[in-house]
Amino acid sequence: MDQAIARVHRHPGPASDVRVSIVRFERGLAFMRLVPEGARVSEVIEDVLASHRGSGGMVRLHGRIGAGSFCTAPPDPLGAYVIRYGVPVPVAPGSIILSADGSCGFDAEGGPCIHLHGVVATPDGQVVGGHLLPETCVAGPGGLLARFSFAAGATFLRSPDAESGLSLLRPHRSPGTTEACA
Amino acid sequence: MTASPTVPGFAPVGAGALCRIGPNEDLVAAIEKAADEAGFDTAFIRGALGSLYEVTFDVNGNRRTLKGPAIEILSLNGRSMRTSDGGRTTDIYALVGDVCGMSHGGQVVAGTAPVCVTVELMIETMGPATGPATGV
Repeated sequence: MDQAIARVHRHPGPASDVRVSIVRFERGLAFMRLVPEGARVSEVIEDVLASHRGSGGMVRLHGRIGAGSFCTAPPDPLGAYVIRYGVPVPVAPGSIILSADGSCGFDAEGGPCIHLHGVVATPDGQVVGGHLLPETCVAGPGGLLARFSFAAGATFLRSPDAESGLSLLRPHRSPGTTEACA
Repeated sequence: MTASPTVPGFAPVGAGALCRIGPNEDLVAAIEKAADEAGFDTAFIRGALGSLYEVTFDVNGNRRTLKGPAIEILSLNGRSMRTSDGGRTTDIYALVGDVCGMSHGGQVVAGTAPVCVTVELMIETMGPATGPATGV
């Protein structure tokens, strides 16, 4: 390291001793899905998660987007959290997702969870992005291409995080699964 | 919903790791730690997202610091490799969004990018898959 960290920040809750959580897997699978024109990104990812119970990983998207929105995260004005997502910003019609990465996993009840960030080129030449809201993102003409990279026997699970006060995804070994995805 | 068309083809993914980096951990150091804990001499970033408190980018020797919070990671690429002396050399390239949604990018300078809330990432290593290619 050639420079010390300049600043640190305090979250409202106690810090966990585990600062970097990892779950190693020995193999996985990469595959593609098309988000067809008019379909929501969330529907396609949820469909994939439903057919790969116990597995999760990452999705990378690109292509034309017909509608969508993203949030940025300014400091929480009430001070309850370090940050708080702001009002969703609509994505201009005719925009292109240049790249969006999403974590794919499950909540405690087994429901699908998606955390998606991405960058979008707008028709007027701007390149903007942030926390994409997958339930608002609808594929445009030609659809969106989604490349999934899923681990065998590992996934992300969402659970409350005492430190930040938020509900966050963490890697977990899938209980009761063999190395191969169900 | 109409079933999403399956695009023909798939590829095996070899050994990798799903990771979560907590607040105030330096992004580059944490990726090195994750690679070490996974036992990967070489680790590539397959996908990543999250937020940083601040970050300094280097573009051909020109450095620029972006202050948060929170700077959203929009795209992250790079790799960490074991060096002959047992250390690591790590190059991480990021595209981030500021609080106005405008994008910025460059090579992340080690020690300058504390995580704000969380970073989720998937790393993979290069090498033969340990099982049948179609095992998933």
